[in-house]
Amino acid sequence: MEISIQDIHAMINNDMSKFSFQEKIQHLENIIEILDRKLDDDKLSYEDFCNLIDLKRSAMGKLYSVKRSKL
Amino acid sequence: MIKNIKTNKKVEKIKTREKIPVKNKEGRDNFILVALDTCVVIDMAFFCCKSKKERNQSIKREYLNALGKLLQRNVMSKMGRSSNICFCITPGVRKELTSNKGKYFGRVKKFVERNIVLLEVNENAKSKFSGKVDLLVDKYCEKGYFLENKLPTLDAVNVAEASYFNLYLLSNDHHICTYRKDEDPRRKIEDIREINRSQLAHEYRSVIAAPQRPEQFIRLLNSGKKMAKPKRLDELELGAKTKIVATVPKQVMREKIFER
Repeated sequence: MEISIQDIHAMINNDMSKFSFQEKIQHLENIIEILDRKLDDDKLSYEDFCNLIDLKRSAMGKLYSVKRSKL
Repeated sequence: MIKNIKTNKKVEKIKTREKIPVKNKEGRDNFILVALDTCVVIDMAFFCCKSKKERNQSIKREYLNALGKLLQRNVMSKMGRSSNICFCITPGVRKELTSNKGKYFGRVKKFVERNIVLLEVNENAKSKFSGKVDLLVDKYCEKGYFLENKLPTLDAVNVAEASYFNLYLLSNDHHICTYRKDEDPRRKIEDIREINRSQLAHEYRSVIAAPQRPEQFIRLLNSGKKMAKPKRLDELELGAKTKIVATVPKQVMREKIFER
């Protein structure tokens, strides 16, 4: 089933406080993979492409913070 | 030392000519390197095929016209005397525009490959480079910039990476550039400059670059003021046998940049 932009948005903002470090990483990497598949569509409109990139930036930002929190 | 350059006869020439020339008093033919933020790359890829009439009708008219002017001066697409700007993307921006297999997304692929140089960090220099970037990110966040829910955003990483190369980062993101609704719009840019100056003091001897809107950058170019000089690539040494190198996707583009 196709995952909508709203679903991805909810996944990114999911409360991860009970996740372990590895689970957080896995969760965010899965989201980024879903977004990458969507972004690779040649027929995306400008608005859709920008929305998806914004979500990817958001997920990547969280991943960056999670990884750094371990240091 | 050079990554991602496919085998061809030009490789040796590129290895022996390490520096990308930048604009200076000596010659008009030298280049100005500028880093592009993700939003600018996307806008260029999508909008700059639009006609002047369409651009003028947009609410982002000034911004789009600035992108048009920049593209006209792009060394990768034009060989006229007026073309003296070389667009670059840093590793962080590249990550945003590529899949986990490293391939650019379909909608921007052609544009990036035809117009932009990728700055890459050699494998054995990566940890040192990211250490410096992390340090800058921490300092920006300490000052209260680039935070979301008290955590650093990717904007911080992109600004830090461009700062390390001493490149103007062209962005349309109000989190990164001056924003008219900010209490003191210039403050953010001056603070970033100050942090870069203090953290990378030994790296620079001259003007320090900072994020800019494309419109501001065009005005700066036209003003004749002294520009920040990006570090020559052969100066970007992070260790005895490490170096940051630029890779260009197509041979013909490499010729334009390295053999002019």
